[in-house]
Amino acid sequence: METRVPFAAKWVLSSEYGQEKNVLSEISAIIGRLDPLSTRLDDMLTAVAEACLNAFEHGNRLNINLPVRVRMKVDEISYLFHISDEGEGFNSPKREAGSPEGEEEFRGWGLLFIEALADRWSYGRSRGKFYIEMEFKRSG
Amino acid sequence: MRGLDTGFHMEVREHPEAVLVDLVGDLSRNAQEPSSVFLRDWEEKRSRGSGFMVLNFTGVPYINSLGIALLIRLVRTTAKAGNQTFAYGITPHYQKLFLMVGLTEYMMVYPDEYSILQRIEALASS
Repeated sequence: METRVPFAAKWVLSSEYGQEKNVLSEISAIIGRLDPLSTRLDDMLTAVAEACLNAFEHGNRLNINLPVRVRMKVDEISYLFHISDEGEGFNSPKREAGSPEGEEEFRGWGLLFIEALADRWSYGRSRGKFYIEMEFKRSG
Repeated sequence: MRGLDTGFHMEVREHPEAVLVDLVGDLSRNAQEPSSVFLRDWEEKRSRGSGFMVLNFTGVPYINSLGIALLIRLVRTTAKAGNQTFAYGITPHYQKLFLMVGLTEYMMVYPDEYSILQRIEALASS
């Protein structure tokens, strides 16, 4: 695959745990070609993975017939990732950083990671789909 | 990192002062059953006394929030039974995530197994 800036790619995943790894592998290869010395690779991979997991689980309720779409855009300034699902959006706030208190519910760290790792992130609805968008500066 | 989750399993090695646990595979949803089985065994064998558990992450290429949730449950459950958990083989990136969720309050991260065993031997003899 030729990889030049500006660059764009997209993937469609079924809503199944583990599907995110196919995308992570390709994103890792793309970033490796564009920015082989990037110190943000792991941050981007974790943020994309967590956005996909949220989309699988909370957005599409693990219905493997519902797609999760991942779009990646790269320009001179930044990496932009846009992950969309067929769901209604968030129904629970992100966890706060710190001690994992609470007996039964140890979940909900995905949005915390996205907020902590991305330089900018947002969410909303567009064309009937819920999305999360995350930006990482290339010089970061 | 290609493909669906790799199979995950936990290999237990005995040590006079500790239980050494090699984690192998992706720490994700697929770790749920192995970690539950491990916890049941742990509770049966270890609930009456304090001890040390050492988690080896060198065989774990991928960790996500589902796996971190399982890890928190594992570490907290054993801590409640009076056990102390140590870990090694964790990349700086995953150490950062563990710090964010407070895992490092329950699990002390060391560079390698040798350093942990030295610490455990010192604790056990004190």
